[in-house]
Amino acid sequence: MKRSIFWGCKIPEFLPDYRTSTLAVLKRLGLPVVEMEYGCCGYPVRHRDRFAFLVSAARNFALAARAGVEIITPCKCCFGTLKAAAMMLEAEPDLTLEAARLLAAEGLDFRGPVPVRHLLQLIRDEIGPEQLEERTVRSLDGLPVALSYGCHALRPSRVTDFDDPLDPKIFETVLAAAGVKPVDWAGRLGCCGNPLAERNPELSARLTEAKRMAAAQAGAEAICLACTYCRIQFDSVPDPAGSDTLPPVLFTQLLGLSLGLEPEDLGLDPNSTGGRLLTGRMIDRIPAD
Amino acid sequence: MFFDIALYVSLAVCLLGLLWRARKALSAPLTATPSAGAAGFKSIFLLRPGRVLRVLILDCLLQVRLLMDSPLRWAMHMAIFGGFIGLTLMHALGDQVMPLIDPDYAATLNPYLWLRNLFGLICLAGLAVAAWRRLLVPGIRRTSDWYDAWPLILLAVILLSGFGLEGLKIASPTRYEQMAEDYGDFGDDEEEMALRTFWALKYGVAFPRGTTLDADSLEDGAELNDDQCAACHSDPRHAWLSWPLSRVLAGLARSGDGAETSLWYIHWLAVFLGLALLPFTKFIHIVATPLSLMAERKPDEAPAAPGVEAFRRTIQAGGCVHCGQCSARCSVVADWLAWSNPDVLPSEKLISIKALARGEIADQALLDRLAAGSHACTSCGRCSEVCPAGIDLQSLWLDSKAGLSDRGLPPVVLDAREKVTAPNRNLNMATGYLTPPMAAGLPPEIKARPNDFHACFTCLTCSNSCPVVAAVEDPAREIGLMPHQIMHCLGLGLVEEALGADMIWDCLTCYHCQEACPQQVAVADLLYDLRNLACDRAADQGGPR
Repeated sequence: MKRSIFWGCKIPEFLPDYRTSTLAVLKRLGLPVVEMEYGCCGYPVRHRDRFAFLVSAARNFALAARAGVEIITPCKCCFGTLKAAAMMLEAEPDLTLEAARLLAAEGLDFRGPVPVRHLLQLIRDEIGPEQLEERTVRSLDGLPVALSYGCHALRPSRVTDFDDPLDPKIFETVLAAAGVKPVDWAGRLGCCGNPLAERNPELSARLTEAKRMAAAQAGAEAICLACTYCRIQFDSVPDPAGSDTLPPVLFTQLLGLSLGLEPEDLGLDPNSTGGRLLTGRMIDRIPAD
Repeated sequence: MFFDIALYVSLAVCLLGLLWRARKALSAPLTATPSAGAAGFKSIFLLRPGRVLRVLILDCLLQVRLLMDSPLRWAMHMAIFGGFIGLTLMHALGDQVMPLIDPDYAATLNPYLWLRNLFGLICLAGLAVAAWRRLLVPGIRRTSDWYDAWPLILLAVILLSGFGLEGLKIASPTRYEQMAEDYGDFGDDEEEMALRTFWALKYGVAFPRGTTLDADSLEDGAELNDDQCAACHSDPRHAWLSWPLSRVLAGLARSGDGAETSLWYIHWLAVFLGLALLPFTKFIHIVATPLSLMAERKPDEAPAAPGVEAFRRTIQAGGCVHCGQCSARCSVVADWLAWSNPDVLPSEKLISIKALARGEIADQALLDRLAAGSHACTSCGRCSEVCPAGIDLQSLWLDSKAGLSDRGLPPVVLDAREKVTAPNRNLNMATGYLTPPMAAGLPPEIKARPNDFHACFTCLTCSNSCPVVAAVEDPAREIGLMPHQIMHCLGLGLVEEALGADMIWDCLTCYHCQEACPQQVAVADLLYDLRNLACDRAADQGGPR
């Protein structure tokens, strides 16, 4: 089935280098995707109104079905939201009918959910660790990195079916060949705090800070993210220790560098803290036979 | 005389109307800082002449931005715009403009005969595409109303009546006789008849039955025509649309001038009506939208002083054509489908925001509606990208949302904690004990889902896995009811108590609770349900929905 990329509402305006780096990595890995116009997944409005959330997701499913594509998304909140909606719509036919009726007036035929995967799943399943090993030309030479799983892809696991919720491995698998040293840290499966950014900004910042401290305590030199909101959160909550200590980096930028792409191809400013750290530690690598 | 009076009156109404609209717009603030009119005008228009000229040519005349977004829409709009401009210069103002280019100009000469028809047809084709989109394309149908229909209808009336007029004039014997009298130089009656015969048989004039014509004198007629008429009259067949029309209308022309006079009045009244009402209809975009495009701040331009930016925003907001592209591409159109709130859609929201700035929204319900629609926006920025008038909608929305929050209309998700939870806080914070009043029973809003709270056996795993609970020293006092207590409340039917839990608002939706629960109680989902319920209750109390 053809794959389409679901960027969500935040990447184009607020995190464009996630788009740049994702497209660059997918191209390098030989994974063609189509870009098409979707609507909001429904994550923000879910707090307000369950029905509007389900219609939001249903509309995206209808758009994907019309194009004959499955959905791949680099945002874990979009992923979790679409998976939750898929399960709810399948379990509640009345709601599906109601959503279908509204969407029909827009010329969209909603029949049910389409497959949804997170970018990490796509890379692990379609490329896999062995091929990644073969294609990796640069190593990060054992750079200790705190890989952050976040929340909305892992849990609730019965709904998201992303990975083992208590001991996931997908992030480590995808980055194994890149030569980072994933640290064992207390914030590994924890929330970045972003969902509370508007409702309780003080608590939200505290949770982000707690994650930073846990990463530092475990000896990490960078925090690696695979979610739009997580990445944005680490910029919105400044590190009280100063901005140069524990940079947040997108996994696509890290992976991209290891596959031989340059910082400019990945939207990574080589003069930023993260950029300098990663480019500074890269060494050429001879792929294992 | 009627013509001249109508023209000057329409022009006057148009100009005064434009001034009035401009004044109204400039006195309605869309920013916290007042608009600095003179400084703004200087900064934005006078000091950027290169930019202004470039925009005028590329975006206003050639409409390159529109072409980049959609060749179909460009073609449609160019057809209407180009066709109408062509007709205005070559026909409406033909006698004033064309002699400057062609000293031998006459309206009834080629190439003007076929050019007018061409422009007319092109314009009609554009209008047909526009009408089809408004009626049938879902994204555009969302926002289409009489404001959009009026220009299409008016232009169609002008064009169709114009074609009809030309058709009637071609066939009109009265016109022929008038021209023959004014310009004819006939030696005798035979010559008159010869010319008349030529015009009847070759040029389609529908003379009354019984008019004397002689087919043998056709050649003489042709010569006379060459001599006396051809300087100003080409073969009317060159009006390739009006000619077949004239065949259809010949009978009408033959029977008198009534039809022609009526169509003439319809044609010109429509034109003058359009002109006079220009400032009050969609037609104002021919003035307002170029200004918005010129005022657009490009990525390489730094922001100007607040007063100038305020002026820019006013100019830009006035440039909205109501084309509906923003609403057609809006990311949260699903919320409009679910709520039927027009203010979810950018184009309609903009209308309401401008009305609010002019002080024209008195009804609290409309204000609430605007707030609810505004806060649904996820700031994805797509509307700004697709706006053909170059309006910086993103900044407008960000400021507007903040402004609405400041005037007591925040997103209901941020408001309901005070409105619904605070009055229900029954937890005695000093003792840590809950003092429940009567059990209220479960409202149907809390759906009895397969994994609901009835399965809870009070192990406290949910609260023990909650990072919010873990983030405070004394959860019972600092957080209020914890997740497991909220589940207990629901199990006991104590919905009001559950709504009094701040945890509803402090929940991260991290799903640790739901994941960890050994009884598969959907704890986080139930907190979503309570949040939705509390928002509904807050809206019921008055305020945005």
